[in-house]
Amino acid sequence: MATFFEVSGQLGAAAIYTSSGGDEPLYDPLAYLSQTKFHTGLAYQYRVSRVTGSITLPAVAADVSMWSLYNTDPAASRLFAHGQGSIPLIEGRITSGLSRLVRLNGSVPVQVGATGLGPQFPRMVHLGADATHVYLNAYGSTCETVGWPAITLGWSVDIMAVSTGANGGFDAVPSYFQCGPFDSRRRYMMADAPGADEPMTRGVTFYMSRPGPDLTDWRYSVAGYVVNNGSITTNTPYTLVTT
Amino acid sequence: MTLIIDNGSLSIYDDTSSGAPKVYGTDWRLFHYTDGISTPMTGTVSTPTRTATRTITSSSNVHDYVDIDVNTPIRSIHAMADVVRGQFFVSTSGTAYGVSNIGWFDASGSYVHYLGPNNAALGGPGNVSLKSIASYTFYASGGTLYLNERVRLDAPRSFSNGVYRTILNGVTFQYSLRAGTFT
Repeated sequence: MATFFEVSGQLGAAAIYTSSGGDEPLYDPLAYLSQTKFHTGLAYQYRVSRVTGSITLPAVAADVSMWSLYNTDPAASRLFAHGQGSIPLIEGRITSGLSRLVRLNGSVPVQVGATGLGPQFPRMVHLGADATHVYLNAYGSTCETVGWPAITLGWSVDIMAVSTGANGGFDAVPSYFQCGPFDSRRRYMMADAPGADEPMTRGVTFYMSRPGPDLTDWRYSVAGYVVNNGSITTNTPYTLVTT
Repeated sequence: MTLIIDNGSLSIYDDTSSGAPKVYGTDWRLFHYTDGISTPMTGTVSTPTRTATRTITSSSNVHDYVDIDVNTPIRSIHAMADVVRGQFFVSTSGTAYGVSNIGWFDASGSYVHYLGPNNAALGGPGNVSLKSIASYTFYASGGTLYLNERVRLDAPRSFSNGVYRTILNGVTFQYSLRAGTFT
């Protein structure tokens, strides 16, 4: 198998692929994805904008079951109006307030009760978006004797888009490469690149087990950010990315 | 800047910075979508009501708890897709169980729906242990989009005879998703 770099004016596409002779990946990269290393017609995801801010989650008293920020103060869970007109693709992270930068993969525990029974009881945050706003949903349960103090979390959310269509023409100059919908000046989500330090997970991020009656062990562990209760040792697989 | 097309890759270097670092390369894996490209995959998927039951008599204490890990196939997708992105809305008939009906959630990772402590309603202790949790995850594997349902429920304890239940009502996910991979 040899590696080919091929540009087609007729297709308005460029591709890098491995092949023993045929050029099928140039014409249909998804059908020959295992041979395709790069194709300007693939729907690559890139960053349109980045919005930053902070949110303060209030203190919650002991012995409160299923507290949620929305039910406490519906407007407080709105981070910003995204102005996209439909539900956008988003990528988010907590930038301050925790032990390290934490990418928002699923429901992320940000606090547990500090003492006694408290470590069983997490407060979670979960990024979300509807057609108008981006939200940080926050919720959890406290234990009989310990609640959570207030916490301020810095956040950063990227609005993403997908490169599709046939626009763009072809331009290969020393400062950038553009072909069809692909433009190297965009901030595409990439792995294996310098600065790729945010873990993007691929499936389950919250594990649980039943060690005995009336107990549930649980664990959230992604790229060194670990919040858990009990004996589970599973770590979530991830790919380090940058945008 | 310098653009080099060589040895099966295209690279761009920033000549204005010290050491002329590479700022873009097609040999870096880029994330792209394989399914739901022009419009997201949309629909609903539901899970049934789950119930843990404890039956206490003068001579027995039978606990039928819930400890399930169920993968529900939703639809076929590209065989190499292994990442799910997008949003889902959660609804259920019970307001006391979970955080549903409050908005949309990002589909990356697991969504924890319910954190159920000991039930204080029966006159016993309050939130002394977190014994029930429900978590759901959209994921892509082997050419199929799945919903994983992971639920742990224990029924309430009591010193009195009777039948005691912890009920997690059925959950409906209205989803708007895309699937993809790194190439």
